[in-house]
Amino acid sequence: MNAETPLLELREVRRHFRVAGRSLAHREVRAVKAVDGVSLRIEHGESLGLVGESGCGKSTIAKLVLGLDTPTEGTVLFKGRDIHRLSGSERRDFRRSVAAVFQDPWGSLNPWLRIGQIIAEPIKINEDVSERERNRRVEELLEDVGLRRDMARRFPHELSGGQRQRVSIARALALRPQLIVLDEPVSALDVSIRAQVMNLLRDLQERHGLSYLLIAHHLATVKFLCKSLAVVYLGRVVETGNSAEILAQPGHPYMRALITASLPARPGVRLQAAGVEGEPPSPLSPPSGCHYRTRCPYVMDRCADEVPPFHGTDRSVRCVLHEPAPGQPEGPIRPLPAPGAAHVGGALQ
Amino acid sequence: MTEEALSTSDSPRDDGVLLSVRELTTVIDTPRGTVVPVDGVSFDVRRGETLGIVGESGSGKSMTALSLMRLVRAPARVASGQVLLNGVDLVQLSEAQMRRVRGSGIGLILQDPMTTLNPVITVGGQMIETLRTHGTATRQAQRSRAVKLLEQVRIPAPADRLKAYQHQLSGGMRQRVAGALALACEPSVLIADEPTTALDATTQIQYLDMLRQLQRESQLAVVFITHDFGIVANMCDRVAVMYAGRLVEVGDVQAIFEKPAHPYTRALLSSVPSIDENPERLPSIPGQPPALHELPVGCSFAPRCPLAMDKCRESPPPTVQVAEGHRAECWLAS
Repeated sequence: MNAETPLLELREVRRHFRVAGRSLAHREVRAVKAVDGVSLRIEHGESLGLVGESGCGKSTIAKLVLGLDTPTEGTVLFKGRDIHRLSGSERRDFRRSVAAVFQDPWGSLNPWLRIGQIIAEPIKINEDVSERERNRRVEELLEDVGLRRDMARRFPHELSGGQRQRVSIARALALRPQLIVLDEPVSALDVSIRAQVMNLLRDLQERHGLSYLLIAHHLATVKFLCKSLAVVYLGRVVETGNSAEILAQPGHPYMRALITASLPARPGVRLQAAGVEGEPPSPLSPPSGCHYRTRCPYVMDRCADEVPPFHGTDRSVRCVLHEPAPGQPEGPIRPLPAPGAAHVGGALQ
Repeated sequence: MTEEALSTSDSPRDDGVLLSVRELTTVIDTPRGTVVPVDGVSFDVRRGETLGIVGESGSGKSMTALSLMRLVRAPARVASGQVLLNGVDLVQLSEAQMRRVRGSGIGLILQDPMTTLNPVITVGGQMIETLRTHGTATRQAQRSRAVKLLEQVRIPAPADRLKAYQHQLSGGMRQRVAGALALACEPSVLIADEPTTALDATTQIQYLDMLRQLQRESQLAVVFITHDFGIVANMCDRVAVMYAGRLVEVGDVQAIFEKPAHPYTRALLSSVPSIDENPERLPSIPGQPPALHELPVGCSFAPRCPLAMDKCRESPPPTVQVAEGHRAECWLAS
C-alpha cells in the first residue's frame, strides 16, 4: 500500500433514492439526491467532522462508508480499495477495520445481553480465540473506556447514559479498528457527562492512532475532535478544510450562518440575525444552481444558473463569491463581508 | 433564610411580578418511598422578563413546568407551596377554575410539537377549537384571529396554512403553530419547555428570534426551560440552575455567567466547549447526577463537588444571598 493512499476516500459519491410521483397526471419517478457528488478523504490517524442540518445527507454518507448502503454512482475507497468490490478476505479485513458508534445509547445495546457479552460479540464472530482470552480482552476494553471490570456482569438498563455510550465505544474498539464512524456520539448525553465522553474519545484517538468520521451538528464538538471538517447542504459538500480555520473565518455563507446560529454560552453576545432565511428546501426539488441560494443573503442572479465549482487553495469553498478575478489563479479564501455590504461584481477581490 | 426574606430580596412585589412561585414542592409516591422531583422551588418572573430554568435531564425542570400548570398526574402530586399568578394562588384553585387559567393565564409550549398538535385535525380546526373554548364567539372572529396568530409567529401564507395538517408542516413550522396555540388566548405568562430541542440550528435561531420579538411586543413573562447554556445566555434575563429538584442558584444572567456562586454552576459552565477555544481537555464533572430515590443526606451535589467539606455531607446547605437578586444554596457562596 502506498503511503500516500488515504485511509478513506469518497470519490464523487452519489446516492439517489427513487420516489414515485404522487399525482396521477404525471407519474414521473423523482429522485431524492441524498448524497450528490460528495468527495472526501481521511488520512491515516486523522479525523474528519461532517457538519450539516437534519436531512442534508450526513447519515447516508455514514451508511455508505460503513458499507451498509451502496452508492448510486461513485466509489468509496478504504485504503485504496473499493469497498463494494472486495474479495472475501478483504471484506473481512474491512469489517474489522471500520466500526461505528451511534447516537442513542439506549437503542444500540441489546437489553437481553450482559455488558460483557455485548462487548465480546464482535470478537466472538470475527476471531477464533478462547473464552478466557475473550474475557481478558473485554476487561481490557472496559478499562480502556474508563469503566470498572465488574461492569461486564451488568445489563444495559443498570447503566447511565454516559456509561452506556462508553460500552458502545468499547464494543467499537473490540476488533482494534482504524476508523470509527461516530454518528452524533454525545448529543443524547447530559452536559456534565458530554465532556467526559468527549475527553475519552480524544484520549482513545491518541492512544490507538484512530481516525474518526464524526457526524455532529454541534460545531464545538467537531472542533474538539477533528482537525478537518466538511459542511454538507442538501447532499453536497459546500466547504471543507481545517476546522479551526473554517470556524474562525467561514468561507461559505451557509457555514457563516451555522456559526452565527451556534449561540455561544456567553451573555451579552445577544441573538443576532443569523443571516439565513426560511427553512431548508425539500430535497425532492432543490433549487437550481447553488442549493443554498434561496436562503443566502449574498445571492446573485448567476447563482441560479450554475452549480458553483470549488474555489480556494487553502481549503475548498463551493461559492462564486470566491471566484478569482478573470485571468487570476485561485488564491486563499478571503473573509466574507457582512451580509448586505456591497460585494462589487460578485466576487471578493 | 425565611420565606419573607427570600421574596423581598428576589424581587419586590410592586416590581411588576406576574408569577411568583413560593416553596413549590411536588412529590411522587413510589413503592420505594416518596421522591421529591421538585423540592421547595421559589422564583419570581416579572412582566416582560425571561427566566431560564437550566439543568440536566432528571433535575426536575419539566416537572416544575407541569406543576406550575397543575398538570402533574398521580402518582405525582403538588404537595405544598404556592404558585401566585397576579396574586392568585393556583395551587388552591378548583380544577374548573384551573382550566380557565391554562391557556388564558399561562400558555405552554412543549418540546415536541407532534404531541401538541392533533394529527387528524387541521391547524385551523385546532386553533378555532382553542379560541372557542376560551370565548371567541363568532366563526368569523375565530378565523381572523387564527390567521392573525399565525402571522404573529411568522408563518408565511397563514390563511392557507389553516387547512394544513401537522404532517404537512416542517418541524419549525409545527413548533410555530404550537406557539400560536399557546398564545391564542393572550396569556400573560408563557412556559416554554425545551421548545427548540427538536429543531435544527438555523431553524432554532429563527424561532428564538421570533419568540423574543413576540415577548417584547406583548410584555410576556416567560419561563424558558432548557439544558443549553447558549440559549440561556442569549434569551434569558434571569437564570435558575436546577440540580436534583432544587434551585441551587438564581441570579441575573450576567451574574450567573460571570460570577457563578455555586460549584455546580461553575462546573457546568466550564464543561461547555466553545468554538473559540482550543482546549486539550474539557473540564468535566466526575460522576453523574444522583437518582431521586437515593439522594445524599446533605447537599445533593456534594458527592461530585471538588470543594465538598464534611458539613456538606451532613446537612443541607443554607441559602446564601450573594448579591441583590442573586442567591445560591451552598456553604461556600458569598
